[in-house]
Amino acid sequence: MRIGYSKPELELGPRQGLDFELQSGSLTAIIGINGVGKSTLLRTLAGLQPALGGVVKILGNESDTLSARQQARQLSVVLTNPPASRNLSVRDLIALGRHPYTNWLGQLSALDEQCIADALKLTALESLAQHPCHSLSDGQLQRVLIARALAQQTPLVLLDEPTSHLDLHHKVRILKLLRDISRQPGKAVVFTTHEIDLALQLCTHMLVLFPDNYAFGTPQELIKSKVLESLFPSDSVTFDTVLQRFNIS
Amino acid sequence: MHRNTWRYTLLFLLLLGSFLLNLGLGSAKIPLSETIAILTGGTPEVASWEYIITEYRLPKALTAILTGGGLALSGLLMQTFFRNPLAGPFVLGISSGASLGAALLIFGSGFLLPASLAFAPTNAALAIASSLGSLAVLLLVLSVSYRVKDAMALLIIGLMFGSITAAVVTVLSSLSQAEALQQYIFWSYGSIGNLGWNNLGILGLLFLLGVGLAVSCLKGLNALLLGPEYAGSLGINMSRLRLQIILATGILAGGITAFAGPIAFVGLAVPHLTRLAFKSSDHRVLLPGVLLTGAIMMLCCDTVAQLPRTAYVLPINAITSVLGAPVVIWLLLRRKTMMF
Repeated sequence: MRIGYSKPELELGPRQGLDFELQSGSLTAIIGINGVGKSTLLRTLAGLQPALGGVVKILGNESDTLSARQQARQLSVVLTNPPASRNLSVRDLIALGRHPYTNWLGQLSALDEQCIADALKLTALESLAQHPCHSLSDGQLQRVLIARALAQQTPLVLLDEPTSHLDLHHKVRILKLLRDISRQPGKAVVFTTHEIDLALQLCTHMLVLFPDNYAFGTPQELIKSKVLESLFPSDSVTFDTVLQRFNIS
Repeated sequence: MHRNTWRYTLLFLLLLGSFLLNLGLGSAKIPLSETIAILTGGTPEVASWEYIITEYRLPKALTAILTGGGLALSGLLMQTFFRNPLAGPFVLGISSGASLGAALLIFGSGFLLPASLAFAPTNAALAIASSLGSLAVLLLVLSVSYRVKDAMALLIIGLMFGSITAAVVTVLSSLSQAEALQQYIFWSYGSIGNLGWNNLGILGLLFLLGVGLAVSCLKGLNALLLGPEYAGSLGINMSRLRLQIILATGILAGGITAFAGPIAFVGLAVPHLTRLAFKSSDHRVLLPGVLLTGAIMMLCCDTVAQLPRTAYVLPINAITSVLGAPVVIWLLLRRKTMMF
């Protein structure tokens, strides 16, 4: 698959394109320097922008051949931009995740209610359910948006920089939540991030994006093949293979 | 939705109250008991009262209900669509299009025909001209909306169309006769009192069409509360939703402006008041809410504009502004930021 923008023409990512496969149960971090195309890749996977070439297949189906509603049952997203309305209650916002399953009026069935309750429970938001979203902290709002994606009950969950603007504790909390989600039956979670140290400890797979190349594999494979060492210019940051973390050079 | 039953009941009673008040008050003094008697098919003490009520006040009150509810609903649609609390039914240039249509007819007839043949356009002709004007601007905005996906850019384009049409109207008015100018100014005052039953029927049909379109996209409107990308990821067909919302607004605001002239602030203020009253952003709750609140507000404004017991009638557009603008300011002060 090739990614980028058609107008003005700007192709991002490796020239030969990207080819990788995600298994259910995997938690994959997309990493790379700013502007290399992490978000573009994620948005292309999500169908928010067209691929410049190639296809995205979910459970064997090419995603652009699916109707919008079918696609919404296959993949859910958490984006960097906050919801347009901050007046919704936590529960109402999460309930919107059930749209691909409800009738034309969006009436919730008992099953829908159960999915919302499950999402609230997994994200530990039960006590905040009736609060309006404008009263939440950044970390809480991020959990609400993740809960909404959970309620959508899709095999693939895509998140664009879910840990930005959060302190270390909340970053870890969100990443652990993503790991728990990926361990649910039949789920694969993909997210972009700059938290490489944390991702190395928690993810099952990582996709390292370079301007002209990419590497996909488990954290151990990537460390062994020394791809992470060339991620940043060596005069500013170097990778310590033993401690598995980046150091200032 | 049970928790909202009492709110709807209260609004319905308020609507009934303001409806009867609006019917009962006017230049002629008709007791409330007589008004109700006429409505229920009885014979009043004075025969002319029946004529006043059935041929003048009743169509006017029904027009107020349709215009108030319709403008409020189109305001709600625009605020959600543009994700902007200051959007109203006229941001797409609908009212400026109507003004242009009316101005072209009123001033144009003065230019094209020799003074001896010049005529004052009838209300029906004015309604047709202004609805053609709104339709033209709406189609222009609609065609632009296919190229410009960004709602904020579309909002600004609508405002720019408004500026251009306002400039054309200014040029036309500077070149025209005093009588034509006066007629145009009277049109711009807004008026809900001279529709008659036939025009009211057409307005009612447009109202039902607009409300029906809005009802058909309730789910999409709720998804839009998250933003267009999230709505798309929830399986909403965004290009169809965009078309439905713009059409519903165009039919409601355009149709109402054609028959009643430009009426300000109802579309802007009522959705905020309704959100505040229902403490909800769910369009399934808000849609009946704004229809009721808009109708009540318009009935009250019209009652004031009638200056009860006198023969004077104030411009309804001025009354809605005088009452509506402070409401918007109060909302801003009370809530710091207007949220939707």
